[in-house]
Amino acid sequence: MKNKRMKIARAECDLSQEQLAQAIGVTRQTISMIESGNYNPSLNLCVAICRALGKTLNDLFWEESL
Amino acid sequence: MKILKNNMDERQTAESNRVSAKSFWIAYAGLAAAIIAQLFVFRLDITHIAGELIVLLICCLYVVVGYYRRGIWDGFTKPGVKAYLGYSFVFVFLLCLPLPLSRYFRDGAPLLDCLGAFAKYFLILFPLAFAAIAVSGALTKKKQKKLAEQYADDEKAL
Repeated sequence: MKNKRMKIARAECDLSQEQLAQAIGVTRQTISMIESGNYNPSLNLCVAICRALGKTLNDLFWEESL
Repeated sequence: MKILKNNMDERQTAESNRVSAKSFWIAYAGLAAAIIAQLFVFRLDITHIAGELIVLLICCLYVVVGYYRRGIWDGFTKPGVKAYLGYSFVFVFLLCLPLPLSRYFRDGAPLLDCLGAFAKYFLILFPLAFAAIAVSGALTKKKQKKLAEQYADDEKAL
């Protein structure tokens, strides 16, 4: 499932995929795969992404339909 | 000695582990098939395949001990008599098949003799396999209980 909210949050912080990847210590491909829904990050990585983008887990990773 | 830093992130590590796991099982199955073929089809002496046999035994031991330590049986069955019977039957059936087949097709031995040989090996090996798998299952159940107690829901800590 695509993660559009993460992409929007990243754009709001004016960060490229590369910059976000470097900030949290992963590769750009991993960020891309998370945003496109091709990889499910671990909870630790989710928390790291939330910290880097100034958002909560609910904001970025909870299901939109609920 | 400088220790090399692992530059893979969690996704690359997970994908690398998936590749390694699949290649292990390909190598394991290939090694087992090669040993069976060399022993029973090509009729080589056991000393010719001693190296491969040792490697296979080390792999078996590593897998068995690794699964036991984590209290894992398998994804399809629970440790119990039905599982032990099923696995023993399949394993011993496949192990006993190559030699009689080889005698029938290669040496032209009579079919009844080959079936008799198959039955003889099966009756000898089946109880041994069942016992080994049953012991493994009993140890796994004991370990699962120990792990459940170790990681029990400790309400007093709250």
